[in-house]
Amino acid sequence: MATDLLRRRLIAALSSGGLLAAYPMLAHAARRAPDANAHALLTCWNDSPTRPASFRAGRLDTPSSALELPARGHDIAWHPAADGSAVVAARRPGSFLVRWHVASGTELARFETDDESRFEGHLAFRPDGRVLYATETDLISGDGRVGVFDALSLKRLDAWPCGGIGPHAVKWMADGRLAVANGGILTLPETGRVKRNLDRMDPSLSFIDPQSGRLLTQHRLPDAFMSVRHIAQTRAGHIAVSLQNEGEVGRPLFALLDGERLRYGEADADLVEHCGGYAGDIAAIDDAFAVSCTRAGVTAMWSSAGLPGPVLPTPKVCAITSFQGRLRATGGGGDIWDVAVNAAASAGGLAATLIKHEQLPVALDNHACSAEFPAS
Amino acid sequence: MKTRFARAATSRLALLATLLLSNAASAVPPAPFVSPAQWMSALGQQVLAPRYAELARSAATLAERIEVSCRAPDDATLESARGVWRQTALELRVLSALPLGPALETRILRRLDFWPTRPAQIESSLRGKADGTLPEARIGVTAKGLPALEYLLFDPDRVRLDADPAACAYATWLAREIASELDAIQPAWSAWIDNLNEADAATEAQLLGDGVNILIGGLDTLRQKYLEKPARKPADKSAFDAWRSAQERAHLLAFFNGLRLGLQGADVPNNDEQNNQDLNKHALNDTARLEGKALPGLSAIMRGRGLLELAARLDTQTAAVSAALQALPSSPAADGGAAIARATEALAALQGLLAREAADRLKVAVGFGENDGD
Repeated sequence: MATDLLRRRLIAALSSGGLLAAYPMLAHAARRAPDANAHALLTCWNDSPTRPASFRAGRLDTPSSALELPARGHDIAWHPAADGSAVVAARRPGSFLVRWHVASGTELARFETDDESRFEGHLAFRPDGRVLYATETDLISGDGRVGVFDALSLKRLDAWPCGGIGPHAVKWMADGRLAVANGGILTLPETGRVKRNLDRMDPSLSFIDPQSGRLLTQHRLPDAFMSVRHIAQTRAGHIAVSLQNEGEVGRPLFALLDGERLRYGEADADLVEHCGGYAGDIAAIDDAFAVSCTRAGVTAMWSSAGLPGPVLPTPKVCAITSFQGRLRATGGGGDIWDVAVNAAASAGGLAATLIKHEQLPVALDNHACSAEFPAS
Repeated sequence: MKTRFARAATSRLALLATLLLSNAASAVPPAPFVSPAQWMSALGQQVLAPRYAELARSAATLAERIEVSCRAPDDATLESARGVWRQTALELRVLSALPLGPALETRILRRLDFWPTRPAQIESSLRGKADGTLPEARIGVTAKGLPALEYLLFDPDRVRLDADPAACAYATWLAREIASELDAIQPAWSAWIDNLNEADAATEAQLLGDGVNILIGGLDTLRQKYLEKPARKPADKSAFDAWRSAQERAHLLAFFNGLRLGLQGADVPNNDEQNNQDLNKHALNDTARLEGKALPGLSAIMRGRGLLELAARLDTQTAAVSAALQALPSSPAADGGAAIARATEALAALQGLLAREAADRLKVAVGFGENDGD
């Protein structure tokens, strides 16, 4: 019943153009420039930001064919086979990976965990589309792992140590390595998401050989209380992470991999305070990075050299993806923001303009990607 | 010593405050204040330590009975081993609902209770052990534990245990391993209980948080892992815990009985005790619990903090779950899943009561929400 209601609300909103604009000037912009791709995102959503009970994955512009999930989905990606299928991972601590045909909503393959492991929310494909990697935790030892799966059948092939506990994002790097964000936070299935080791965290960014599973390098921040959560890479190869602050002292929520070390992006006290303590996602666009500061309700940008850029008001923002040369961000309140980015616009070298804002009557989940299979 | 006196004084003050507030608010005699450390200590002394010791003895007996069955194979010796497995597994199922203290820290339940079983892995492990190609140290948790023993003792499609010497040796070794693991953690219980006597405010808060979350997690496990997931394919009984030994319903009830010890303690009230008179009766029961060293549950903690109406609703919903589970067929999906649906609905309501209202009033951060973080 809740599912039907959720689907009807979303379809009604999309078909009538009944979108609420939070900012009058943005609503005006939206009226001036109707966008056929307004909801062209592949993502997960649910029916309530406070008490969700119905969970979906699919294209926002065709919600009637969305896949019903048993719990919140998290990372989501088109399959590299370009066969119209995509894979969604359960939000951590999660029990499922599902591959489905997006246009029809037909499930093609599923992997469910048992007492041995649980998923930690993210996945990555080998570019040839034959292997899928997913972050997970060994429930017996508590160690973080990268689960290795057949990317079509989702049958398990292997599981490799990832060099830490509480892994979250995993990402294929341009040079053929696999990057893993080890959050360093211990949680146990018996106590859910309760953090059990905040006094002895060991977060890191690890690089793994995707053929052998060998741990290649591992990089840490100076502060053990900054949990490494998500990873992005620019076309030029710069690698950065977004962070979650589990300490009492303010720190930037953005860090760059600078040679062998992770270093914070530049941020004065105002910027640190403005961004708060929790970043939900990071994306690269041109030669810059955008970080969604979910609880503070802003999107903050840094250049690939670590210089601070603009900060945009985006309440409850989380998912960020680059889309047709823009940034597209979504939020738990159903918001969708389009941001034009100009890397060489001003003295600071980085400018961003909020050009469109819409709101759907659903709670959009933490990650998204373009609704079309990306051209290489 | 000073700390202990100060704590006693603080407890007395808290008790006095509770007395005054409760009298003013509801005109019923107040319930005694039960600290989280008292709650855990009572569970440790009266439930966990003795029952883990009992479980260790049962596992040792199981190893002996399997060995006897293998040495003198016949229906009687095999049935004797199966009977001890049933008893041991039920003892474990009660305890598996309360992964507290050393059970949480040592992860012992994960090692003793891996499920669903992986028959192919068990078979390859026992063959590898028998022919010497697989050292015992390399046999993983996924091929061990009581569910693996259930497969070897009861699986209808497998050759009888007592007709398979390699499986016999493997099963005996598994049972001894279980007994040995359980023996090894026995000293940890008394150490944990002793430490509870020294709990400071931060520890008390963590004990309450862990206790509430573990109960919520247990309800979630019972609902999703043991009921909803297997009920997706009602015709496939093999998805239910203990299906090979035909103990599905008994295991579900045992797990819930474990949860109930944490929720309500040993003194389970009647279904219909919801008015002030009954609240009064609960308060007296809680006093008796502390004075007579009876077992308080989370409901006693709630009453001691003046949450009388909420505690009564907890009792009522717990009784509703109990009734729904009692109404399950012995093969839980035999009616097509209708009874399971009623049980999961009642469990979800109880879980919601704990995760929202109780956690909020007790100021506990819940680790099982769908609306927080990444």
